[in-house]
Amino acid sequence: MEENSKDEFVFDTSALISLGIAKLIDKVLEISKIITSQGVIDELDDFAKFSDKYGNTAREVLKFKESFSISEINIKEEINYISKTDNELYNLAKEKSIPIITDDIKLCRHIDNIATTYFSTFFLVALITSDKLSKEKALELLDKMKENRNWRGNIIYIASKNEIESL
Amino acid sequence: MDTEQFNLRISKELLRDLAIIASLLKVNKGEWVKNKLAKEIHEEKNKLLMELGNLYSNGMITKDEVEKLVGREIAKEMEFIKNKARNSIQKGAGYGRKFKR
Repeated sequence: MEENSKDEFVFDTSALISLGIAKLIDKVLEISKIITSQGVIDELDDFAKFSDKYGNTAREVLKFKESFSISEINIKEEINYISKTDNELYNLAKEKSIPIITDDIKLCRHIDNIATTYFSTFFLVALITSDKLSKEKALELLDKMKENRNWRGNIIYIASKNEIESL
Repeated sequence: MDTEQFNLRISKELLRDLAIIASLLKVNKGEWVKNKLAKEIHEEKNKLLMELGNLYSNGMITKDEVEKLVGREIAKEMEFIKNKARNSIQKGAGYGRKFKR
């Protein structure tokens, strides 16, 4: 695959954790360039200190850190009610005119009219249509990604499952 | 955090049991009940909204019906998440096709 045919996407911690739970980071790197901030890497480092599911996943994601493009960002436009890291990601996405991959509903809602956001399931289905993942395997991984989520995550899961099944 | 007074009348037996718990755990009775209540409310709310979200996501209940049951803000949020999930899948499908072997 031509390296320059891969699009860049800004990834936040929630999306990297979701894709890490599904062990899809290597496959996502085959079809995209993962752009993120030092703040996200710091958050993953914090998760990685624990030996629970998220800690294990964070360590798994951090194994691919060398393949990520980690940007230093100056916040030029600050959005209220979202974290400093999220503001960095928003500014990065705006500067590069690229979408943000996030499962953080609060972030999605706060920047909905000013930036493009997709849930991490974007890549689950992109891997199906690029023939890198079967539909059956994707549905199995979606189940894994859904574990322990709250009601908001449950709607992402059901809506995504319905869409994937109809592909 | 904004707070409001909420009074409860409970049986004397329950109150005695509460006193035993508070004594054994060396905690304040009111604080212990407050924490337990907060945890229970959070879990029950999440469970019920999960069920409502299932019905809404599967098209078995409309946004207006959700709004009547739990209010406008949650109904709007459910609609937002469902649309965002669909859009993510549709855009992802299109993006992946350009890498099809």
